[in-house]
Amino acid sequence: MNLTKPKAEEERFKIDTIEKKDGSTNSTQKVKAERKGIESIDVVSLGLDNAGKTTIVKKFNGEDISSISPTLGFNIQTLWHKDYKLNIWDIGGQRTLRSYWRNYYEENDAIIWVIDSSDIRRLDDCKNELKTLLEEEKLAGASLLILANKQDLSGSKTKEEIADYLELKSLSTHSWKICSCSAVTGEGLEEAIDWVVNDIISRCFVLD
Amino acid sequence: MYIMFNNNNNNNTNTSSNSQLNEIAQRLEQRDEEREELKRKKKQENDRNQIDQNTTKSLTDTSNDINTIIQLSNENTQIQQQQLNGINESISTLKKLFNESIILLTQYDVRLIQDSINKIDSKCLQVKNKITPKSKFSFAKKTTTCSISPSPTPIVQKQQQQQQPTKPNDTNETIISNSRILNIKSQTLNFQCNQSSGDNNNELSIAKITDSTLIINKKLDNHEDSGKQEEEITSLQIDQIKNSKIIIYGIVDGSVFIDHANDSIFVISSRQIRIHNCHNCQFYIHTKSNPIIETCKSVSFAPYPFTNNNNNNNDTTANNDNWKHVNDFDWLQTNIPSPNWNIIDQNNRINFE
Repeated sequence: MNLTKPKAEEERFKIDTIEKKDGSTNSTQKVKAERKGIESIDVVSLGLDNAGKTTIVKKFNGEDISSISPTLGFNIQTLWHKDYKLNIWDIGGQRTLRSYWRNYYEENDAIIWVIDSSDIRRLDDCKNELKTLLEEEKLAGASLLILANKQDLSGSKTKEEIADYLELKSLSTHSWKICSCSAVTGEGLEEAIDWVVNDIISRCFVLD
Repeated sequence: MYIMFNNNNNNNTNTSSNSQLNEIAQRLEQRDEEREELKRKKKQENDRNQIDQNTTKSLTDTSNDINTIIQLSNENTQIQQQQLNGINESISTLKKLFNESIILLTQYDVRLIQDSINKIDSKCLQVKNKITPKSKFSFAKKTTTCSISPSPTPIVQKQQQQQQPTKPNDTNETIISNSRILNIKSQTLNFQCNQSSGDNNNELSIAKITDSTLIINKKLDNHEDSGKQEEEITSLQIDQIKNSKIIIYGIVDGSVFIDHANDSIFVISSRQIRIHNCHNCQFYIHTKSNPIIETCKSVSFAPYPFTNNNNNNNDTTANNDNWKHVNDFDWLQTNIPSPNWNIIDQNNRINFE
């Protein structure tokens, strides 16, 4: 009974990866085609489990955040920001799911990396996963937004401390920014998404 | 007249030969297409087979390894716990490998491998049961109202033994700050949460607890005072618990993360519960979403025994049965329930006060 969901999720997961491969367009082509009014932006949201990835997306959409289950597989959420449609691929962060992450790397304009700022114990884990993620060729060229989430917790680290720990200053392969936010209060989310959209748009103009 | 006829005739032969030609051309085209199709299919199949063979080979290799280990251990009546751990480890690597390559495999292979994994698992369990005398929790007697009443379980007995000498230490909070409870050995602590009005501590982390009982009381009645809502605990992290009991009165209004626990009992009510790397633990829980387990073995679940009397009026989920809808990240099958967790039988549940 408890297992109906995982199976269904697993299947959905497979189907969706296939679909994505088939209906693919090169992201630069897409940009050119939609130059006059960029309509949709594909974003993949990753991070360790319990970081608050699903909560962030739901909060941004004004949905109920009190009964979110840990993500088995993934969710696709659509956000509207200004005139842009953001398709957010919210992928589960459990250790067993991390090997599937690479199935979602293709065709993304941006990566949102979510961090639980109060989880100091697993910050090393987080650093390693981020490092391997950024070495991925398929993600080259995607904007990287790092969210220092859970700022509402009393023991959370500031974004400066986290940036230092993750050695973000030496990161030159991606256009990146770190923002502090709280998915529970909604603080900082708007600004962060704003940066993602602006960064992608400015890149498109360069391509133009 | 003649010309006309001739013309007609010509036309006829022309059209018939034309249609014939067309037909042949069509047929040729079709055949070409078919051939192309066949070629493509063959290529695809070859590709797939290659991957299949690789993955299935590695999978069967590992399963064979495990089988030999188990056979060896069967011959050796005196099997060590370490060996068993080794087997468990290799089984989990096998599962991981299988999960990773499930997309590449054919349906038939998937079923075959699942079957063999199941067999190995059950075999391993048998062996384990043989060598470890009843590692499962069992509360043979119906426990009375007192939670710490002596019961035949070794774990509870141990706690009982340790509780008596340490009882005077009930208020020992020297290693305890408002947001951390760390390094506790063989103690029973009654911890009143959120009493200090000065700072807003809304998170709590509990770590390195051995042979102890922690009781954490959250102020429930003050919930309605709007000013005090900030003092709710919204995040609870629990790590490295051995042979202990952690009881939390009141709701954690956020996520609970339990990692590395052995032979312990947890009583928690919260929005979200994640359980990682736990062995032989009991969870008496209430959640607003489904609890999940990852790399856990022999964990068991029961409902939260206390009523939360700070119900928000519109809270319809107060009495849900999410506690038994456990999602196991290491078990993605629908037809066979996960062997890693089970529900505690009604008669065997501890009666908490």
